[in-house]
Formats: sequence, structure tokens, C-alpha cells
Amino acid sequence: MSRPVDGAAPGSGRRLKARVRRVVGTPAFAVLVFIISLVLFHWPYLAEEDRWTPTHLFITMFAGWAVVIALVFLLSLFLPSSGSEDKKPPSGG
Amino acid sequence: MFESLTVISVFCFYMGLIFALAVWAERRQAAGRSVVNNPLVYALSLSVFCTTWTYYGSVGYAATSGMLFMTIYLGPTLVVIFWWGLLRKLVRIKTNHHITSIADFIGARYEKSIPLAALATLIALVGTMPYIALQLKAVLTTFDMITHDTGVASAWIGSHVGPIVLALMVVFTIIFGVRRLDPTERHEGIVMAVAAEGLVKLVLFMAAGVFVVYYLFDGFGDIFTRYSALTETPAGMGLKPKSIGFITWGSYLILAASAVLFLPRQFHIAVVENQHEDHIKKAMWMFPLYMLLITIFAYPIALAGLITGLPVHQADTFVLQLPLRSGHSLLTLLVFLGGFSAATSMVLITAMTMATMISNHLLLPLVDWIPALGFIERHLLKSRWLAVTCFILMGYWFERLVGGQVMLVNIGIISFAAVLQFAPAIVGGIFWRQANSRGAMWGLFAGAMVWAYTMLLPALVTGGWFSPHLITEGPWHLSFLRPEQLFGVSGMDPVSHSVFWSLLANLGLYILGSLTQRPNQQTQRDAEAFVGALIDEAVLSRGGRHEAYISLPDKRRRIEALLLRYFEPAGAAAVTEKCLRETGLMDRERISITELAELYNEAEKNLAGVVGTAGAHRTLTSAGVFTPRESQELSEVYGEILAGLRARPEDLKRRINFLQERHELANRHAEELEEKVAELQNQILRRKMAEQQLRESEERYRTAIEYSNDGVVLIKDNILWYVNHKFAEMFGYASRREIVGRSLTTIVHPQDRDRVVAISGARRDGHLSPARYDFKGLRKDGTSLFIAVSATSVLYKGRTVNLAYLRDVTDRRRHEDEIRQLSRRLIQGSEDERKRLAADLHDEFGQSLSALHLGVRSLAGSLPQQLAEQLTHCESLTNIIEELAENVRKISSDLRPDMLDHLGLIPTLEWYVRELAQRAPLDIKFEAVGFKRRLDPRVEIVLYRIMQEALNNVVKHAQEDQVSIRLTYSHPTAIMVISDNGKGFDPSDLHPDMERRQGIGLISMRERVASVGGSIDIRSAPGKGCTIRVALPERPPLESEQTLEDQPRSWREA
Repeated sequence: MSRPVDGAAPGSGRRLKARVRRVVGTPAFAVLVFIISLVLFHWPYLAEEDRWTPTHLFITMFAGWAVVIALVFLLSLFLPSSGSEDKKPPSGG
Repeated sequence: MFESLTVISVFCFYMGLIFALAVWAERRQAAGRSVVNNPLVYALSLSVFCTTWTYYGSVGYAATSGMLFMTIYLGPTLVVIFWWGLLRKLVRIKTNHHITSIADFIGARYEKSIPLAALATLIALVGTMPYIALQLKAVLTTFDMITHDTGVASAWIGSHVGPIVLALMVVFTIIFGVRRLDPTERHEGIVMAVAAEGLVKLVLFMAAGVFVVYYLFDGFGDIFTRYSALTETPAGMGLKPKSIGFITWGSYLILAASAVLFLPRQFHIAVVENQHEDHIKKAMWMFPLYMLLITIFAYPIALAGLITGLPVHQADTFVLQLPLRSGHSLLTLLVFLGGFSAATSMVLITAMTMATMISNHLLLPLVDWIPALGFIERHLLKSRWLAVTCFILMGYWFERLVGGQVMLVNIGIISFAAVLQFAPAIVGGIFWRQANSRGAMWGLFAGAMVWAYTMLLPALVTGGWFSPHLITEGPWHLSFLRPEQLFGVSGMDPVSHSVFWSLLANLGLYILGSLTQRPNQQTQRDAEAFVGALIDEAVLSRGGRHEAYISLPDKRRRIEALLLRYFEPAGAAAVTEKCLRETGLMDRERISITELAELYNEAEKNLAGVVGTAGAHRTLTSAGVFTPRESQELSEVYGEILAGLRARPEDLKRRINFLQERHELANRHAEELEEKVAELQNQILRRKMAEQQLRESEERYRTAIEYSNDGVVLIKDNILWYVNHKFAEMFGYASRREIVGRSLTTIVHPQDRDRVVAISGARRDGHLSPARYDFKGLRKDGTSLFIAVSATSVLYKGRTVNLAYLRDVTDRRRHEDEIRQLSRRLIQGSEDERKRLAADLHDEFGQSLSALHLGVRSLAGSLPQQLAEQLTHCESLTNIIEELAENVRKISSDLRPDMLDHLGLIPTLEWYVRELAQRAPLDIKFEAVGFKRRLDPRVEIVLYRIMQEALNNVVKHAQEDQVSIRLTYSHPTAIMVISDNGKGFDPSDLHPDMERRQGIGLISMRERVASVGGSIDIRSAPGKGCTIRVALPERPPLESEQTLEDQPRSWREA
């Protein structure tokens, strides 16, 4: 089998994507994201209280939120297509 | 500060723009080019979640409770993670059951329960009323804040702003969402409007945030630093996270997580208005991102307000007061517009949804219950308008009631806690098959009651409707019934307290009610339809992901070896192959565990037909088809599928039965299709064979026609339509193309054209026409030829065409002519010889006999009478001589009657007839008409000979006694017709040898007639006598003049 000399194997990107899909495309990943979200959204309760300033609190909460959004974005990328377009029932009823 | 009129005008203008956008979206939808069927619009429309509560209240909440306001947005973010399973299921169910609202959904799930839907509507009505109040309060408060009336009109508006805003809200709701009845309750226009308003409020709020953070202050850091430097932190400012209780935090998360889907407006936008399930995927991250962006400035604005010295109790309006106080009027107006936009979109959607729910689940059941209200059905649209008006008025009333004493956030939380009561019924309804209407009813009712007692009642107490002692001491001084410390539970804030008790009551009774009611078939069907909405897809997706690593040839050998116990080798192989075919595993090398299981089941099924189900099962179980690893993996797969199904064994069994029925139905259908396919294949095969035979037949006919020695032609409308090679060659054309398409007359000599065209036309038109005839043809080079034609008419492509076979008979005609000439000469020579012989007999032999007669008579006269004996001899001799003379005369007449030359044809014929009548017993009638002059001698002798021959035939063969002879002269033709009534004969049975043998002399007649250019027609039939018709020209052509063309037509046409 020949391989290109100037780069990665042509299928390596696909293989990586398939591997990511195998991980991210499972319901377990959604549960993992949920747990991560819970942890991030409750971090101020889990961390030592005295170290929190308003700045820390603000940054921690919004950064954690942004991370969760990024994870959900990743999750949404690998969800299977539904292919179910809603059809309007005939009017007149 | 602005005039009220200005603000109202700007607002109306803004709403006009939004309405135009909505109308445009509806027109696009009507044209089939929807702009709303788009994930971005869907995600933006979900922002209806962010109302004035977000716009103003989040700042107020941040100022009083620190980061607690974030729970309102973090809760939805948590639940969004599961939207692909949860929301998609709701959407799928909505699509399958045409759900129009959240009450409709609950009713439909639980046996189409009308009371349950009505209860859900009531809860939504009471629960969302505070939310409407919140919007109105925000709008009215901010309106007051930014207006300063100087004119009369503005002053009037300013003093009636409440009713005016109320009226505007009602009008906008009706024209946007309740303009007409829509059976689908889907409104692309309103969704577009909500999405646009979502964008407007985001942009304007962020603009306010940027203004505060980067214009009034030097960024986030500056605000946080200056706030930290404050010597006195305002009360309630929960910067320390643990100042907010964990339970409170969790309760708010739960409330917000449920509200994002179960608020009636959220359910409507997220579920009912969803156009494609895939839109959920983008909304999953776009909607949280939207919430993050709209809230990111809330906390800094709250801190900025506090730093600026604004009072905490006005924190709800910090976002408006900061630009207002800094003198930025335009920004203030825009921010107000953003807040107004947030309020109107919420009121619009909620009022519209509630109007639908009220009319469908309260009014119409009431109409069914009280027939006198039947007129409402005819005014459903107007009743919805009324519902919208009443609903908004109730919200206004609630705002007047409690708005002055309660912050925005607290009002909103009341609604959140109300809709939380829907969560068990909805979530349980789509994931728990045993859930039923009793459980839902009990749970909803109890939850709603507890919510009303623990949350609504305290709000009403705050509004002054009830005594504060109710809160502090409990009803009838029963402290364990204190609404905010029910049963003595006091370790929670009022919201968490209400959430705890209402959810406990709701969930407890929901489960208890569901468990205590036996599900009927309707319940099971509803549960299956809702819980299993996505189940098939999940199972299928699981089935397809297993690795194909098992060697099929190996398993095939094992199964075949097993089957050999019961089958002959050929039978075992056939059954194995059948199993592989049935499972679709033919030609596979590797299979997955699920495929092996299918193969195993198929083998067991086939074997059960021989050894019974139990025997087959035992045999296969003991055969070790599965290795330990495969058995383990199969167990895991089944576990995985069962987990995916989330079904009890009996549910699973029922579902399997259902699927088996479907499978059998599909199999039967497939068998029918296979039969039809086989039948079609047979038909195709038969058609192919027929086509092959047809091709071969055509080939044979083409060969026969193309290579025929006769010319073949198809003539249509006197055009040569088709000719074969021989035809072209016959007429001197190099190829068929040269002659095809030309007129028929091209190949006919001018001499015969009219006749041939007439015959062809008569045949085409179905008239009588000769089937065989000759004509003189014309070659390409102008030379002529003689053609014998055999023609008929045929149907070709629906039209009558003439099909003719042509043969070149030029040579044959030449030879016949030569024979005819020779024959003529022979006849003439014979006649001449007869004439000479007759003359010799008459002239010489007759004269000698006369002399001898005279000599004998003279000798007898000279003898004496005594010589009697000699005299007797002489007398005897005289008689002999006279008899001899008579015979000679007779022979001479037979050879050629000299009277024919001397007296003519008619006397000679009359004489012959008389002579014959004396010799034979015949009654001969002779008649001659029209003979005023003599005919050519050659014609006369022919007529004489023919009559002589015909009469001889009558005497010899006819065996009758009546003969009629009619001789007619019709210039220039002499016609003789001889008829008898004898036994007759079949002319087709005669051939030349027979004629010669029987001495009929027909050949002789024909030759004689032909020798003078005449025609003869002999007609006879057995038992019908015979008629001979001869037509001869008065003057036959000379031998040198007579050519082939002069042959009479009767000879040339048959």
C-alpha cells in the first residue's frame, strides 16, 4: 500500500473523526458533559470560600459556562441526523 | 426624558416594523420558501425565554442576590445537554399527534384526558399570570422612568399608560398571533417576530452593557476593583458564593431547567413551532450562547449601579437608569425599546398560547357540557380574542395587586415554580410506560395546590390580600401549616421550600397514582406511542454498530454438521443455504454477533419444522454454535438493547409480538412481490421468446421475399411502397431506392397504363378485379417486357394495400407465339391439303368413277338379255360404283365441303347440321344472325371446324340429344355459341394428354381459334352440359401483322 510522502496518511483525518465520533456520539458523552457542567456550575461551592473575589467568581462562572457551551457544541456536531422534517397536517380541520 | 407620546409612537413604529417582518415571513411560507425553517431563527426564537425578567430583573437579582441570577440560565444550559433525547422526543410526539400546546400534550399522553388538559390549562393560566404581571410591571415602571410629560396629550397618555400599554399588548397579540384560526397552531410570522425581537433585545442590552462597562467605567476590572473598595456592601449582595445556600442554588437550577421547556410559551416555541428536528442540534449550543451573551453584562451593570449609589430596591431598572442619568437619551430610549421588545414578545406568545389552551381545553369542553353555549363554537376566533384580552387583563390586575411590593425576579419565580408542576407528568409521560392519567391528575393537582399554598399565597399576602399572620402563624394558628414553613420545615428559603414540597407532593402522588391504577389498552397504547417515539431508531442504531469479526464459513460448517443429523447431505446444505439467504448473509466472510444470532434463530426455525420447537432449541443449544466469547457478547448486546428500550419484559414481549406481526406482514408482502416479480420475469421471457420467434419469422419472410425469383411489390395509392431486389432488377433499376416511392405507372407501358391502374384501384377499393393478369411493362431504359401478375389486397398498418407478385414472361410469350405461328401454319397446311385432297377425290377419282359407271352401264346395255348372269353382274358393278362415288363425295365433303367455298358458311353449316341430324339422333337448333356478307375464308373454315368438332364431341360423349348453335355477327366479330345439355365435365380436370386420348379436340379448337386471333371460352360442369363460345374477328390479321400485344384480353386476364 502506498503512502503519500509529504504528509499524513489520507485516511488519518477520517480515522480521527471516526474515533471522536465513537466517543462523542454516545449518550454517555452527554452524561459526561452534564456531570462536568454540574461540577463547573457548582465550583464556587466546591472550592475554598476565602479565595473567592467578585472577579474570580465572575470569571469562573462565565468561563465554566463557556466551556460547557463548547462541549455541547462538540456534542451537537456528532449527533446523528434525524432526517425528520415536520410536515404540516392538511388544513381545514 | 421623553414625552409619553413620543415613546408610544416610537414603540408603535417599532412594532410596525416587526409586524411587516412577520407578514413577510408568512408570505415566504405561503410561497414555499420559508425563512423560519432555519436553525438560527429557531435558536433566536427560543430567546423568548429571556423576557424583561432577564432584561431588567437579572440586574436587579444580581444586585440583591449576587450570582444567583445565573441559575436562571445555567439551569436551561444543563437541560440543553439532553435536548437531543428529550426535546427531539417531544417534537417527534408533537408531529405524530399534532400537539398544539403543553396542556394538549399532557391530555394526549394520558388517555386523551380532557379533565387533565383542563387542569393543566388552569395551572398554566394561574401560573403564567404573574409572569404577564412581571412584563407589565417592567414596562410601566420603565415607561414612567423615561417619560416626563409637558403637553396635554402626553400628560393624558402618562396618566393612562397602563390601559394604553394593555390595549397595545392585546392588539398586537391578536394581529400577530390570533388573526385567524390555524389548525396546526403554527405561526411562522410570529416566530420570525420573536426571533427578530430576540436579536434586538440582545443587541440593545449588550449595547447598554458596553456603555456601562467601557464608557462609564474602564472595563470589568475597574468595576470589580471599585466595588471591592466600597466600605459598605449593600445588604443581600451575595458575592460570597456560600452566602447563597446550596439548596437555593439547586432549587433555582431545577426551576429554570424545567421552565425552559415547560413554560407554555417555551413549549410552544421549542416544540410546537419546531420545523425540523435537526434544528435542535444547533439550538443546543446557540441558545446557551445567547443566554451567556445577554447575561454577561448583568452582574457588572448591577455592581456599577451600586457603585454609582443607586438604591438597591431600584436595581431592576439599573440598566435604564445608568444611561438615563448619564444623559444619553437616545441610548436610554433604545434600551427601553429593548425592554419593551422583550416584554411584548413574551406577552404575545404567552397570550396566544394561553388563548389556544383556554379555548380548546376550557371553553370547548364547557360547550360540550352545557349545550346552551354551543354558539361559542361558531365564534371560536372571537372567543380567543376575548381569552387574550382577559388573560392580559388578569396579568395587569396581578401587577396592580403585588407589583408594587415584589421585585421582578420574585414574580418570575412564582411562574417558574408553577410550571415545574408539569415536569413529572411530561418527563414521566415520555419515559415511564406505567404512568397513567390517575397519577398525572393526582400529581398535577397536588403539586399545583402546594405551589399555590406555598408560593402564590405568600405573594398575595405581600400584596395585602391576606393577613401577614397567615405567613407567620399559619392558618387557624396552626404553625405546621405556615405556607413558608410547611410541616415545620424551615431550613430552606421560600422558593426552595415551595419547590421541595410541591415537587414532593406532585412526584409522590404521580408515582402512587400510576402504580395503583391497572393500565388499560388505551393507556398502554398511549404510553407506547409516547415512550417509544424514538425507540426503533435507537435499537436499529445499536444493531448496526457491532463489529463483523466472526468467520461465517466456520459457523456455516458447524450448522451444516448439526443439520446432517436430520438431513441428507444435500438437504443439510440446502437448508443452510436457505438460512444464509433468509438472513441476507450470502457471500459474506465475516459477520457480527447480532448477525450470528439471526442465523442461529433461522437455523432453529428451520430445524423446528423437522424435530419440533423444543427439540430444535435443545439441539442448537447443545451444538455449541456460540463460543463463550460470543455468548458473552450476545448477552451484552441484548442488555444494551433492553437498556435502550427501557422496557419491562412484558412490554418488550408485547413489542416483539407487534414487531413479529409486522415482520410476518412484511414477509407476506415480500412473497407477493416475489410472485409478481417471477410472473413479470416469465412474461418478459415469453415476450423475449415471442420477439425472437418474430424476428426469425421476419427473417424468413424477408429472405423469402428479398430473394424471391419473382418481383414483389406493395402498392399503396398507386405508389410503389415496397419492392424487392428482383422487382428492381426486372425493371432495370440498380437499386430498390431508385424505384420505391414512384408511381405505379412508371413500370407500365403507356399502352396498358389505364387498364393496370384501373385494376389496381378496383382491388384497393374492394371491387371485383382479376387476381391474375398480364401487362406490358416498361423498363428504365424504355424497352418493354411482358409481366404476369398475381395480386391481392392486404391490410398493412391499418390500410389496404395491394400486394403483387410479378413474373417476367417475355420469353415464354415469345415461345408461345412461335408455337402459335407454327400451329397456324400447320392448320393452314392441313386445310390446304384437305382442300387439295378433296378436290383430287372429287375431280379425278369421281370422274374416273363416273366414266367407269358409264362404261359398265354401256356394257350392260350391249349384252343380250339371255346373258342374264352377266347382266346381273353388270348391275351389281354399277351399284358398287355408285356407292363408291357416293363415299368419295362424302369423304371429299368431310375433308373440306366444297360448298363452303361456293355457297358460304351459313349454308354449309345448315347442310352439315341436316346431314348430322340424319345420321345421329340429335335435335339440333341452328340459328345465324347478322350475316350479310361472307367472312374471311380462314374464319369460315375455323368456325366450320369448331362446330364440326363440337358436334362430334356431343355425339361421342354428351349422351344427350339437344344441341343449340347460335352464330352471330357483330361487327367486326363473329361469335358462335354451341350449347348442349349433356353430362358435361370439369374443365380443370382436363389436361392436354387426356384431351388427346379422349379425342375431345379442345386443343385443336384452341389452336384453330388462336390461328385467326380469336378467343374461345369453354364452360362446363359435371351434369350441367357444356357451352363453347368462340369469338373470331371478321378479318384475322396477316401472319406478319400479328404480335404479342394483339392477344385478346381474355387470354391476358384471368
